[in-house]
Amino acid sequence: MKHVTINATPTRRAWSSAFLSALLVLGAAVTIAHYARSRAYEHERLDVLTELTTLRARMEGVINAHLLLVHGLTSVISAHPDIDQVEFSRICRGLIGTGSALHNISGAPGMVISLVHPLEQNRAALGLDYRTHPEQNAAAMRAVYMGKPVLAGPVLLAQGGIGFVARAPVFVATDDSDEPERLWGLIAAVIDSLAFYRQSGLLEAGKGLRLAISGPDGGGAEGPVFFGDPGVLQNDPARTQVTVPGGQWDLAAIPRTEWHQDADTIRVIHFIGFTAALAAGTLIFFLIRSNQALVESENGLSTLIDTIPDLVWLKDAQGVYRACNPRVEQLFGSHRSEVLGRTDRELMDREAAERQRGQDLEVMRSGKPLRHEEKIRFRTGGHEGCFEVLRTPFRDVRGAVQGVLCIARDITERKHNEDAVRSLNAELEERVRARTAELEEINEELQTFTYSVSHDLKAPLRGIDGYSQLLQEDYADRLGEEGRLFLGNIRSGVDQMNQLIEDLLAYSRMERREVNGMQLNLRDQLARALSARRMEAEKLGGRISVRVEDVDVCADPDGLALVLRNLLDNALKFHRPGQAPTIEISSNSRERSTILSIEDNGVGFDMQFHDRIFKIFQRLQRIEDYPGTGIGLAIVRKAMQRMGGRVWAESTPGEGTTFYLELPR
Amino acid sequence: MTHADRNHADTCTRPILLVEDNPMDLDLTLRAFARSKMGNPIEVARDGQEALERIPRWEAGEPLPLVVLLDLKLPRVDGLEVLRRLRANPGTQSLPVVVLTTSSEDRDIGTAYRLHANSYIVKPVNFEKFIEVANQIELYWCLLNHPPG
Repeated sequence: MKHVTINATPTRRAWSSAFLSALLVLGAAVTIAHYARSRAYEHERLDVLTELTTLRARMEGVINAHLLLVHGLTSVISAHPDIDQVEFSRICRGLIGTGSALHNISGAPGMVISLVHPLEQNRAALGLDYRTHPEQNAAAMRAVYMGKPVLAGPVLLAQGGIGFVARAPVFVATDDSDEPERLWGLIAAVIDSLAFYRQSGLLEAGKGLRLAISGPDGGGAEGPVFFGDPGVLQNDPARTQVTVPGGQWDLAAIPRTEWHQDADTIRVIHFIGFTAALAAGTLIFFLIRSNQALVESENGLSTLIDTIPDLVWLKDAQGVYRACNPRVEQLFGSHRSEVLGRTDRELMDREAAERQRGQDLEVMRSGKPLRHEEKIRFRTGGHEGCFEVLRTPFRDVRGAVQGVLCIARDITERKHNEDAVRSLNAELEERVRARTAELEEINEELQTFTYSVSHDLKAPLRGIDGYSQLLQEDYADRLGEEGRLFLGNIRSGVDQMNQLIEDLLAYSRMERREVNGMQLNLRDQLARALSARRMEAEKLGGRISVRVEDVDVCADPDGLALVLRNLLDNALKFHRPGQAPTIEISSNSRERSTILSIEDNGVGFDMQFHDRIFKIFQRLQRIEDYPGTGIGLAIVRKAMQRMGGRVWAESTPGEGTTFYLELPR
Repeated sequence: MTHADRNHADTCTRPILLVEDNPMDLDLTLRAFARSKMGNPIEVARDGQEALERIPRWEAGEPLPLVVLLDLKLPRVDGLEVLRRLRANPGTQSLPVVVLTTSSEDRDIGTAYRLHANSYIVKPVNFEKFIEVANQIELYWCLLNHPPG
């Protein structure tokens, strides 16, 4: 569970950080784009406005030029109020040059049109009375009342087409200079709208701009649109006022491609912004993630270093402590902050400090780790123990030695254990020594014992035998039959006792003597043992047959002779009453040993006594039937043991026994 | 008197030295020798010390025994030590010594021969055999063997 939490939160944090940073960059990009766009807008607007201003100037220029003509005419008429058609046309012809936008000029003395130029096309206008004309009355009267020229239109012209009409009142001076001037009438100049538009550059400007001019009759922005596209007014147009006689026009314009058309730069800004946001997000995500991994791994590492029971510290090349774990705090009995930044000289006694410094210097000089054991006593807690200190050169990324990293491990317990093992070994050795001495003593005693047996037991025995014989020889006649029988029994008892002692000695000798294993020919050894027994066998009417391989066995010559002698004696001795002994001897060699079998047809024994017959003093037969000491087979077994072989038997009571000897090759 | 005659006269008069502490063995041995009727005098030393005390007397001119019958287990100085001292003394260096003992220990036999015993005989327990052994010893050492000059 904990594991999951640790993993989930940092990832979420990385995601959200990445998202936030992407958003931030995107926001910045949008802001930049916004400013860029508004700057572009301003720029565009300024461009449009500049163009509009030029247009206005041209328009005003064209209008004023025409007005100047009218003004010239009014001046002429003021001087010659009674001008006739001919004169009027002559003056007008001079005024209206080629390329002029003037369509016609009319004069209305007394407010009735009686003069017109050019006459031919405008005869229809003659006789028009401004005072009564329903459409032109208002405009005409306005010019009269204002006492200066007034531009009207655009209007539908009586002679066809659309035009602007500039009407100027004409006053003539009275003879009496004190009297005010008298109204002569009206001069009206009709300007062809198309020509006007062309001359003022409006048509030309329409290619790049969408224009709208409102305010017919100089009515200004309030009036309806008479030129261009009324839709322009809805699109936040750039505006300027064109001053015309008697009022003004509102000139509005927007670019032909409308405002706010995103420029390429804006698109580039958007694209770069979006890409940068994406990149920033990704970058932040991985940065935070790897940073978190680093922090986690550093946390893990510092937890590890803080919790291990070893002392860990890092010293720089000058011997100043740069890092340490809490165990080091316990060592010095002061907080980490008091340890770091100091040297050993400030933390321990002079001698110890110099020893430390010497070892540090050696490690830095050799560039190889140094390990040694040191007794350390902690100031906190007072623990004192044996520590194994490992100094390792600490290198920077380029491999240059920057200081020494030390790890000290408490090996007190290990030391104790080693000491314990050592003392245990010593104790064990001591015990073995004592035991060996004890055994040697026992052996010595045993030898003394057998020595005594052979000397001290046999001497009185010899006395008993000697004197009973002397008694028998010298006093036989005085003893009588029974007395002689007693003496005979005494002597046979001595015999038996003597045999017993001899066998015991043989047994103990077999136990004690050195056994020399050597390669012996089995057939030769057997022949030697048999030579002394053949006679006895023949005496009993028996037969010994030998089928033994020509092999060498590893044995002690005396030991093997003793074994063979005992077994052959047994085979001859334990024959069934009235039955001649038949002994068959054969061998069977294996890879590592030879088994010699000695089979007789004697009394045999019950196999349940198999182990007993090889034990000392154990007898299965009555002594009067088969005399013996019960030591022979024990000697055989002992000798076989000493020679690294073994002996065992198979038997059936009343049928015979086979003894097996296994001898190493 | 020829050399051989003197030698013969010597062998007839020179004693046999019996070193034996056990009175019963001593008695039986003497009886066994008595039966052989060889007639060589038998001298007896009852322990090793006593046997060694004869060395100065021999050096003073007393005749050397034809053979020393030496038991091994003796009070005071044991038989092997007696043998060692006899062999260490120039006057008795080549004196025939027959170890006559009950021990049939390999160790004893080996040590005796290393000290240049001339013979090692185990006393049989059976008295008949013992008499035979006594006869053989006397026959061999007093009659057949030429003692050193």
